[in-house]
Amino acid sequence: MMTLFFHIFICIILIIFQTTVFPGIRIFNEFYDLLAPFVIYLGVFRPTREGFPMVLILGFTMDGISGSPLGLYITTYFWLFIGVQWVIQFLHVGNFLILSIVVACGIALESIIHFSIIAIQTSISEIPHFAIITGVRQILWAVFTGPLLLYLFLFLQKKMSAWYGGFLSD
Amino acid sequence: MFSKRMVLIIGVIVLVAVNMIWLSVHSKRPYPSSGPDRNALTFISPFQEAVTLTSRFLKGVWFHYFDLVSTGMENDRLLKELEMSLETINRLEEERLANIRLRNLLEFQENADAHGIAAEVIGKDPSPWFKTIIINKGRKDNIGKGMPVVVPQGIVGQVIDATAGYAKVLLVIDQNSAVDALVQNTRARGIIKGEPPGGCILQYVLRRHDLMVGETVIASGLDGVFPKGLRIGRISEIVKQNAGIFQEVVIRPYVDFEKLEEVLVIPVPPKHEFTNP
Repeated sequence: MMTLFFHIFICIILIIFQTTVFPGIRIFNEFYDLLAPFVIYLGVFRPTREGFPMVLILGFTMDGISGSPLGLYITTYFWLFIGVQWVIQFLHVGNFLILSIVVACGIALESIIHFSIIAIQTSISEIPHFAIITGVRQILWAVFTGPLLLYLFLFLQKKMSAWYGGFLSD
Repeated sequence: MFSKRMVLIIGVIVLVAVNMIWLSVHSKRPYPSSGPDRNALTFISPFQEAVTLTSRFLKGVWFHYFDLVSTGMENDRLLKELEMSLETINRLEEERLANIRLRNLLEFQENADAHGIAAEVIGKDPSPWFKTIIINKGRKDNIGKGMPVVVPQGIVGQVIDATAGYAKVLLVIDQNSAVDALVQNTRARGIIKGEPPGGCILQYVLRRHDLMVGETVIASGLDGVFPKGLRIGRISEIVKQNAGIFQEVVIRPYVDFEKLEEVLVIPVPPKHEFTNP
């Protein structure tokens, strides 16, 4: 239960950060979705029974605050989570490079899903220049900062577990 | 033979005389190059020097310390005052800017027959692919789905969702947005659609209309959402294909969506009644 509250707390922080702080900073205008690394973290480092409900909560929340069609974020996070769980059966995700690739692929998957929805909505036949630029920038951001975020989540989780363990033993 | 008193007087006189002679002789050579007095000087001076220097050092340290302490304290006080002044200036500047914005909003509300509800933008869409904002007024402020959202510069968008305290606004630059519009001078009609990554396009404008870059595009009011006459943007590019009955017009919105802070939600689109002349 404590872990669930902790995950919800992290999600709230990330959502607030990327809807209020990032839009005010020009350099972060095309930053990737901060919750995608969190979904990857849940997929890589947490058991499925813990991660899966959280992924659904996250998707539902993001669908609520975004102007995207309802279900887009749930779909994105669900497939991201499933994909990560599948990938970690073959890859050793302990090192920075592999994590970078996993996060970059996750962000690419999210961009592809989102852009596909836009393409369906607007009936466009070819990928516009801006979409490629935005996608590439997001992936580059993800390559360099994504694994750091994963390590940060891992660190915070360990700290929280240690603190809670100590609290219970007292 | 001599009395004691006589001996004492003679002794004093001799002593005075010898003293005077000594003085008169030595006054001609005041600074001897050698002598016992120099030994004293050699012996005493280092101590004098040490004590003097030490005392000067201590005095210096003492006074400088207190000087530094008082200077440091004064520095701290001045820095604090400076910070407070900067904070006050910043706050006043923010209030001045907010005052200008709110005054514009109020004037706009009074002039434009658009008695609306002022709201603050509290969040933006987490995805760069979709263009929505969240405002801090909702159903309890009589805000509902479909209401137009405007600022003095022009149309912002329309409410697509509202909770008790908050509402989500779809911006006109989102690809899902559509506004019935007119070109102000030529009265050419079309539909303003959002165009990623943050512009607009005026679609379905007949080729026969001669449009000019820089012309203003306004809401036609025919969509039943936005009041007629509200500004949307300026024509920045006109694309006439060789074939087809329509021309494509790129619009640059008047509203700077990156800097949106306060907006006005119009609860019910005002009815425009025609009066007989």
